Amino acid sequence: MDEPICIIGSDTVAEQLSQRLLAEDFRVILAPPNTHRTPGQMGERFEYIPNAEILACHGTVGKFTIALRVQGKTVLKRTSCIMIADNYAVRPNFAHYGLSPDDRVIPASALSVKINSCTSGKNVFSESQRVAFLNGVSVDSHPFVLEEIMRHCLALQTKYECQTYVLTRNLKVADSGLEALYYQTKKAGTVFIKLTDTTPKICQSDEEQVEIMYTDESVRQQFLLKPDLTVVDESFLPAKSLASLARLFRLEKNASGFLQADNVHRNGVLTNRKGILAVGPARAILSAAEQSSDVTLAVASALHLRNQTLPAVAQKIEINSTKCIRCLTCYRMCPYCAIELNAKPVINPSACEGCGICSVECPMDAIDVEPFAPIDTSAIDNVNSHTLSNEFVPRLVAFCCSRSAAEAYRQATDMALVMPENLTLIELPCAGALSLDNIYCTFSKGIDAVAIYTCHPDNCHSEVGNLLAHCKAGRAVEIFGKIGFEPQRILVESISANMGTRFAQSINDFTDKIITLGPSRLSGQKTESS
Amino acid sequence: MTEENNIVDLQKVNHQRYKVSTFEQNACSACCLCASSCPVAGIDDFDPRKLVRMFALGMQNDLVESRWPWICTMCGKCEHVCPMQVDIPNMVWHIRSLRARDKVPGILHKGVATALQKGNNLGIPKEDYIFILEDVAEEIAAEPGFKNFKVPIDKKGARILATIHNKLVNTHTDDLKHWWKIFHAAGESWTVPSDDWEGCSWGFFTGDNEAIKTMSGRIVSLIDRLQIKNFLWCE
Repeated sequence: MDEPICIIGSDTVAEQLSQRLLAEDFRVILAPPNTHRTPGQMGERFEYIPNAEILACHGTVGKFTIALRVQGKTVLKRTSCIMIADNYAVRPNFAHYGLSPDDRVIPASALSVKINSCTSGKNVFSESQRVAFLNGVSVDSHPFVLEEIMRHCLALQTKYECQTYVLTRNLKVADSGLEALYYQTKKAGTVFIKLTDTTPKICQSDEEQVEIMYTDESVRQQFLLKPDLTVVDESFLPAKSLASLARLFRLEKNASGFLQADNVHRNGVLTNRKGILAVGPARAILSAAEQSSDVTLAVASALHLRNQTLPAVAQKIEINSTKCIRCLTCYRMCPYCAIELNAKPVINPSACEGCGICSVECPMDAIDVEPFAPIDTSAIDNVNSHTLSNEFVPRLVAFCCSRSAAEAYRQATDMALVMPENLTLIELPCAGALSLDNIYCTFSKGIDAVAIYTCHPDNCHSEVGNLLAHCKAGRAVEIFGKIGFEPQRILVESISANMGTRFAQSINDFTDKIITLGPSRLSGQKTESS
Repeated sequence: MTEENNIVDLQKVNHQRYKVSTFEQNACSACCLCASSCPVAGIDDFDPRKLVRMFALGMQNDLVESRWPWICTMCGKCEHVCPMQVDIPNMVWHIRSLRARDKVPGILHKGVATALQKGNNLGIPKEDYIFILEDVAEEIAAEPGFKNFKVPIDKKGARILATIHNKLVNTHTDDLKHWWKIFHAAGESWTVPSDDWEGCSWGFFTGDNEAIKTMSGRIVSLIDRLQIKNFLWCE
């Protein structure tokens, strides 16, 4: 990994990242979306490219190529790893309260500035005896925002003799030391007003003071507050650049637009793409301490990538270039963007996670994913479907995702839960590695029923593997319906690794239904009626 | 402080309560366990949580004027269940103490005033009191097995001194007999005082610290004077 690490970010996190990576002997390119603060002397391993527009990105981990437009010229940069850390867009919530900014109504960040300006001994609050904070009334707030507000209240109460009020729906004290700070702030005299079922009525007229009429839900009376200064909360939103960066780098987003999906497999600063990290403000609303932790994680990831000598995936994955017709299906399907387009597509073993989706989707069967290819169904060949007493014991095959269902099955066996006698488990690297052919072949061998278990929606490591499996199952059900083969012989369900009990229950219930249905016509066994 | 339409203008509320807070009202998390346990919650649309909140806001005047702090039975369930250890009964007691004495409800303060002046809540003169004690003692002595019964009054060096609830020498004199007979049968060394015998210090109900101090002081003097080893306070 000789190429430099490219940081697309601004402000504190980007600076911390740069410094820590340089300290670990990495070369660093810092490309902020603007010219926020020109960094000081950072040494010759540091390159600073401000005001760059990112145009495209090709390649995979260890060997990305980024095209940037700088001052009208297109520049190509090779980079081993990309770290995105653009800072939040901060939006004051005046509109939520029907307020407009003036000298009596200010956003929270403006109050910070005002308080900091007091350090020279000057008290700018002598006119503002009553200060009201609207925090988390219209939209939920965040612990680090509340912490700042409480510290301001403490200062206002103790140093500047103001009377402070905090109106909120949910007090976010779920962080280290905040409960104690809350108590301390109350003891200093701050009045906290908790709104659950009621909404305050806020009036801002030109001549009068701002008036806040609210119901105190413990006293069950209406209170009228006329603050001299009203402080409005701010929402922390993803940087404007993140939407286009997500498109360019083919990154998943969460519902709020941050660059990390709400997926159990996206831990720490990882995204769906190896070698591309979402750090601090690029991935969620985080406190300063949490953003610092992210920097540590990112540096650790970089070190790990550098020290890795083996490819990530043990199995050998190759595209047979003779069979390949360069349809680009594998390139488009790969959830990890691990396929590089040269004359023919080539899989980068460092970025490949071995999910097998490319192999299944390739129309020319040009991709082998050992040891999973072909899906080993030989275990099915020797199973008998009737006992000595001639009772029907269904032959079942369960295709199980290795990350979820296979683990659930192992948990069920560890717990000694009773499961069907004639169950054959076929473990897949990802449910997306299941093909329609696998389903048809299984039934043509005389199996009575097929169960397919995938990860839960939004929680597939390969993004869409579970959806693909559900689609295939749906397609098979549709076809079976048309050709007159019982579609009820297929079950598709999502499950997670810790659901051993549910796995056993599900497969047992399915077996009971198949017993009622009787043996498959393709099994060569007689049904009870014939 | 409270205007028409029951809107409270915060300009007129002084939140300086933190300077006198000793009841941990700032620890209140509004969980409502107190109100759930309170036997008189809901009366006058009041409950312990509302009281704590008004106290914390600095609305003491409203609390002192309202009836509810006197409806509180001082059962202590609120304090027992409070996860934040807010001392609600003492808060109620403090609110009671803030009321002018002539506004204390019912006969409570009249009893306190009488006790301070005359030694007992009902103002029973000493002669009458002694007469009643000896009368009851005679009745006991007439019962089989209690022939030698005598009520010890002001016995110096007794092992136990007991004070007496005023109703026991007024309307419920028969109730004296139960514990007197037990002491006698057990061969106990006991006594009752001839003065300062009142066992019911109503200052505890009216939030009157000074009255409590005075009445307790009288009993302490008794104990010193009679050289009593153990004090049995029945109230």
